[in-house]
Amino acid sequence: MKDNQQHDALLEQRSGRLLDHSLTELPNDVNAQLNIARTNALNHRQHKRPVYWAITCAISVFGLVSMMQYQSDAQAEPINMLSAELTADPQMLEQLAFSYWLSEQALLTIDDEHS
Amino acid sequence: MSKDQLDIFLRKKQQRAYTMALLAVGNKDDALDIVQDAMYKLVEKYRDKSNDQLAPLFHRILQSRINDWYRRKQVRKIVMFWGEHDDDEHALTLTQGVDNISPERQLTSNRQHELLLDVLAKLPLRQQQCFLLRCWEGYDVAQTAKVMECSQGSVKTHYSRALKVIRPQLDQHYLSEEEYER
Repeated sequence: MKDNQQHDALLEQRSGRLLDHSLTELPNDVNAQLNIARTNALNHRQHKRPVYWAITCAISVFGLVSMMQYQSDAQAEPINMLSAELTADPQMLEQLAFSYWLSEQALLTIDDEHS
Repeated sequence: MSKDQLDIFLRKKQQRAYTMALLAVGNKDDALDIVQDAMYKLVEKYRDKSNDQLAPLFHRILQSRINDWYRRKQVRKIVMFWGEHDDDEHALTLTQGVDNISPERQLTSNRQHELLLDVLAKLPLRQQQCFLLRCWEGYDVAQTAKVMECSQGSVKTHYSRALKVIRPQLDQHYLSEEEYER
């Protein structure tokens, strides 16, 4: 058990050293690109893209919701007006029902005459 | 933290970060992109953190970017059906990424680190990340768990599995006691 632990510890040390050694073999172009990446990162501290995205998304969602709201209001307007009228004047409903009955009767009379 | 201090920190970490990313993704350009993204994110979000906190944060971002790369690769595989040749490309580009060695030098110690890189590149991603963080970066189990965003038990499992794979392969090649002690 102890031997295994020692063996693993040596293996870890050795691996660490080999990995460190591999860094010395990195190609020059990679090192150059890493330096450029580091400099870019340090010089562009204020990376605004996420804020722009958030603002754009918020405006789009607001516009979409407003448009849907407007459309549903426009469609619902005549029904809303009628229901408001009927609530205010219950007799109007009876008059409407009567006029509907009358128009039906008139249609029946016309049919009888034709036949 | 000042710009100069950040510069020193990133300068120290950049080569190791690149090697970690290269081992994980097997592609030089993707590895460079991942390291650059991690640097951007660190500078943008965590520049006010102390020096002790920066290293674990940087590694956490790096591992997260590598995991994102794997996720995107999976999606690409599903959508495009291009997955079949990826492993071959991985092995090829990995050696290209670190290969700039004269023939004489290749004969000796470099063969050993190439062997190690090769073994590490073939490990499953989580085992590879765990081994590099513990063995190379020197994080303990708790720190590694935090960086990898998993439990300490998982870290122990990943690490012992990684060692189990690495041990016999490296033993075969160079592990005489004298060489160890050198």
